[in-house]
Order: sequence, then structure tokens, then C-alpha cells
Amino acid sequence: MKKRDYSGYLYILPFFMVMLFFWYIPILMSGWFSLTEYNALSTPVFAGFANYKALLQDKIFLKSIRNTLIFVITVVPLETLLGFLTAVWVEKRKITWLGKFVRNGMFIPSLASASIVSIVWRILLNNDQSPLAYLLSFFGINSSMILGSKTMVFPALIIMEVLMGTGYYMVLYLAYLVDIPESYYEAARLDGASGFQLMRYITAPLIKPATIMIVFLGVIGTFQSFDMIYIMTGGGPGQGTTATVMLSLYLYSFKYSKIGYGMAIGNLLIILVAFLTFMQRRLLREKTSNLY
Amino acid sequence: MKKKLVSILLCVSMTACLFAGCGSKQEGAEKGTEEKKEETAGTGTLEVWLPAKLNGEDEAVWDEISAPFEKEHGVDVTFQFTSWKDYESKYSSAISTKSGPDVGYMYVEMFPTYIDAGAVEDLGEYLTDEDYENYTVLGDQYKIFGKNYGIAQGGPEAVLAMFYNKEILASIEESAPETWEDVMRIAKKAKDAGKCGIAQGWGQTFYQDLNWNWYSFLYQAGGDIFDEEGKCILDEKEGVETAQFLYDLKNTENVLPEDTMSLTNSEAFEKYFLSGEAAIGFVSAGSSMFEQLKENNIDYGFTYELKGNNGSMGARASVDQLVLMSAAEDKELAFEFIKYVTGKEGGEKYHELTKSNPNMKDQKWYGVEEAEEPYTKAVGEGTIRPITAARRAPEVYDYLWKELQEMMNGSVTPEDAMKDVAEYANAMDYSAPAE
Repeated sequence: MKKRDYSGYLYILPFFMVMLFFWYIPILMSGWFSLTEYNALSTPVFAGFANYKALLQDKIFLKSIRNTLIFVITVVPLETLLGFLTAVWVEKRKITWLGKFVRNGMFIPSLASASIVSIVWRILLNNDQSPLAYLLSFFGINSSMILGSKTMVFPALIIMEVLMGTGYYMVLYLAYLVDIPESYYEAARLDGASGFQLMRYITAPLIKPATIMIVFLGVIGTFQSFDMIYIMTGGGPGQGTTATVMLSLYLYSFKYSKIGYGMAIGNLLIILVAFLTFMQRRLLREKTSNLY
Repeated sequence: MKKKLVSILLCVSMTACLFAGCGSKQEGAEKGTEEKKEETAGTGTLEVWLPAKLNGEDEAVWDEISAPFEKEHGVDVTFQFTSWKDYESKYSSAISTKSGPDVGYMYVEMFPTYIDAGAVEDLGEYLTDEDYENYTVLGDQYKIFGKNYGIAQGGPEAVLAMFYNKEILASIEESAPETWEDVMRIAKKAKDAGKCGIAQGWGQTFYQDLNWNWYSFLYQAGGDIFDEEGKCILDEKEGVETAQFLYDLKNTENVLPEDTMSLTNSEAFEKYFLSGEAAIGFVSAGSSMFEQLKENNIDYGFTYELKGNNGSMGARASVDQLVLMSAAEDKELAFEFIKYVTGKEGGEKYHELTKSNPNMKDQKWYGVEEAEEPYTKAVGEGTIRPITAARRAPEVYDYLWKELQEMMNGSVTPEDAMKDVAEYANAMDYSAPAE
């Protein structure tokens, strides 16, 4: 009888150790700390589920969950759709200078630091002489009112997040689009398919794996949105107008020295993301295209 | 077989490296602490942590100041500078892992947590009668919970001053404002003349702008945020009166810029006051502000002595302090260092290099010439003063700032806003931990 080969376990051991020390143990520790009153300097004092109970009664935290969900529900579909449409457009013009310009121009924002991009947005919005202010004035919008307006600021943040993320998803889609054999389109054209039908019945199904991956990445990334909101609004103006779960986590853990409370927020975020990801997987169970 | 052996060896070595990496961090930290202890006890090393606040000149300035001390005491002083933004989080992480400095730097909001954790030393035992006589920053208003936990390197800094544009005031036949009533009247007249009344911004993303938009007005109304026990008293008459005054500026008299809710106070000051558009502005009266006003050819006047409705005055200032950490190996040496860099020789050098304010009697003035007399008078009379320390203060300040934004946006009345903040603040535990 052939002896079982255990060398495979050795191969995964280094990565497993990294996962264990930098992911699983911290998650377990955060579970423990969330059950304590702890400020990083004094000894943690066991408080049971007091942090979780307080969280569920915290009006601003509940507002931050609502904001985060709105952010995810709006940003992810918009980024995915725009990423897909731009990728299709660019793919058809990949050798033209315009195609190259759009591809690079769209991708650059996703390479830049979110903090820097946010500072630039803030300057553009608050400066009456900026090109953006000039552009918005055609629509009767005073750009320097946006960040201080409780009604306009959240939609503005959504648009900025979409513009920042679309380029990255466009590139992911492009990687899949170049793999679709040209013969599929030729055959469909011979059968009289229109441009829309080509996209609907060939392109879209064949890049379904990319779409699933992008939606997953988008949901997880958007749930963790922090830099832009922290820099642009700090969760304001006012009480929790643009606060997100990640922002609350940061404020409680690092600004207010309430580590236990911050960890409780972190754990709820993990549960929320895990639940949504699980649901998403169930809804999109069919991972690969049946055309391949 | 050979391939298999090589791959197994490779995996083992990678795992070993991983453990070594994790281990070395901990071991390294322990070793570092041990080494530090040995060095401190033997050859003398002192670690000092400071926020980077001298525009990239920190290291050069501090090396120059500490050189004579190092020579005299045969000690090597090492400095670590951290950006303001990361200062507090880095500091608390270091203290919690017992890898903090011997001498640190704290602002009022930082103190309570570290005092409660026993991380900073009460300097009562170290300070002499002579020190109390010479330093001007050890008085009651600079104490934290009634004790001296540190010594400020300079006198009160970043003091809120009211600046006014003399040219605009002359055009509307007004003179320098002295009271809230004057401010409101001048702002309305300036607005009617097509100018901006007051260059004030309410769009800051965190509570920093309470420094310019709140504390001083509250002092001028005769109030404070916390009482001596730490209870929030904003819902009292003075707090509501302050909130009402600010609310009226925007919502009743409409004398603030249209985009006041989007701009930070410094952005609003730059956009409207430094451009000569606004009649009045409230900002920190530091050397750089005076330089900017001159560069922009603004014919300005300024005062620290604006009076509220009952005649009270008050101008908020920062009095950040150098502290002796309880974990310092050689506390005597660390305290000697604090005294040197805040004292006659090192302190004076620091003031000269950084144009900061004096913290001792009979010290030379290195700041802006025109500010010397009004500043000295206002400090002497107690008009210029720091904020009061209180437990859970950062959380209360943040809530207060956002509630004020709600109020300025017209979503809540001044009375409800103050009531809400007081309820929020007093629902939290603000008592001292049991000994």
C-alpha cells in the first residue's frame, strides 16, 4: 500500500502560520476584548455583553450601519456596472489613443492613496475657482455648499467612491474580456445579433466569474470604507450624517480610547460582512459560465 | 527524492523564518527594553517622545537645545518625533506595551487616561518652592485634577484672538468691537455693505475647531464645559447663551459666509478675512498668522479681550506639557531634563528658536512685537486660559462639535443642543477610578 504523502501540509504551513497569528488569533482576541471595558492602558475589566447591549442602543452607531448599507447598496452596483461598460468600450478601442487614454485615466485614481484623493476632492469642492466648481455651476450647484449640506454630502461621497473604484474594476473586466474568442461574436453577427444582443447573450454570461469576484471585492471593500469619509467629513456634518461602521470603530478605538467598545463594533462588522457574503454566494451559486 | 527533500527543507526554513520574525519582535522588544534599562543605569540614555510641530525642524531644534544638557550629565538623549495625527494612538500603544519614553509630551485632553492608569508622575515631589516662584505655568489653571503632572515649555500658545479689518470698520463708521453686541452690529453693517460679516467656518471634520468657535465664547459668557467634579454643565444658562449667540450669527442675522458649513475655520478665515472680504474673524494669534496678515496687506487690529453679555472675558489657549513617565528608569535624570528644557537656559533657547511665549518670570519675548503687551496683560489677568481636563472629554468634545453643527444647520435649537450634549456626557462615568 502506498504511504500517504504529508508534504503538502508542510507547503501550506508558513501561510497557515501567518493566517493563524495575524488573522485568527486577533479575531479571537477581539472577541475577548469586546467583552471587557478596556482603554489600552489599564487592565481589561470583564463586562459581559455590556458593550454589545450599549451598541444596539447607540443611535449614532445604528445610523452608521444604515449609512454603510446604503453605501454598499449604491456603490457596488454602480462601480460594477460602470466598470463593465467602460471595459467593453475600452476593449473595442484598445489600440486607439483614446482607448489607451481612457483606460489609463480611469485606472490611475485607484492607484493613488485614498487620503490624497480625498484631500484633492475637498480642495476642488471648496474652491470657487476650481474646474469642478465651474462645471457644477452649470447645473446650478454651488460646489462649496456640498460638504456642509446634510442632504447633498452623502450622494457626493457615493459618487466620489464610485469614481475612485471604477477604474480598478474596469481593468479586472478587461482581463476577462480579452479571453473571449472573437469567433463567438462573428458567429452571432452572422446570425444577425445586434450590439446589445452580443453584450447581453455573449459578453455578460462569459464574464460572469469576473462579475461575481468584483461584487465580492466591492462589498467587502465598501463595507470597510474609511479614509475618504474620515478625511472629507469625519462622519458629519452633524451627528452621524455620513458615519460608517469603520469610522465608528476607529473613533471609539483610537480617539475615545474605548477599545472594548471598538472591538464590539469590529465583531459586528465581521458578522455582518460574513452573513452578506454567505447570502451573496447562495444567490450567485453558479460560478462559471455554462458556455465555456 | 532529492526534490522532495529540498522542498521540505525550504518549507521548514520558511516556517522557522516566520517564527523568528514573530519571535524577534517580542524578543527584540524585550531585549530593547533590557538594553535600554542597562544603558540608562550605566551610561545614561534618555528617550523623549514629542509631536512633530516645527515644520521639519524638530530634530535640529531639539538637538541644539539638549546638547549642553547631554554634555553636562554625560547622557545621550534620543528623540522620537511623531506626526500630530498619529501622536496619541502611537503613544497609547507604546505605553500599553511598556515601550514608552522616559519623557513625554501631553495636551490637556490626553492627561486623564494616563493619570488614571498611573502612567505619569505627579511632579509635586520634584518641584521646589523656587520652581513655583519662577515658572508662570504651574498655577492652578494649569494643573490637571489639582496637581502638576508636567511643565509647559512655553506660555499659553495658540491663543484665540479676534481680528478685525480696520478698513471695513472705517467704511461702516465703526471702531474696534469690544462686546458680543458690537460684533453682531458690526457684522450686520458689514453684510449690508456687501461684505462678509464674520469669517467663521463650521465644516471641520472633528472637534478641533471648538478651539476657535466655542471655548472662548463660553468663557466670555462666564461658563465652562465641565464643573470641578467633571460633570458636564453645558445645559446651564451660560452654555445656552453661548449657543444662542452663535446660532444667531448664522440663522437669525445671516452674517456668516454662505459656505460656512463646508469650510474649516482656518479655511474660512483664509478665504474671507485674508482676502479682505470679512470684517471679523476668530483664529489662533500665532506668529505665522501675523505674517500672513501682513503678506496680504490687511489693515487689521486684534484683541484677546472680547466681552460677553455680562462683561466676562476669556480666550482659550493650549498649554501642552512635558511629562515624566512613571516607567522612566532614572526619574531624577528625566526630571532634570524636563527642568532644563523648560527652564532658564534650555527653555529660553527653545523660545528663541521657535518664537514661543515665555513660561517663566522675566523672560525675553521672542514672539510678534505687537502681541507682547496685550498677551502679557491677558495672561496676567487670567483672560487667556487653557481648557479644563475631564475624563471622557474627547468623546464629549466630538459629540459637542457635531451637535453644534446640527444646531448651526438649523436642525436643533440651542437649548435642545446643549441639553442633549449634557445628557450624553453625564450618562458616561466621569468619576476617578478607585485607588
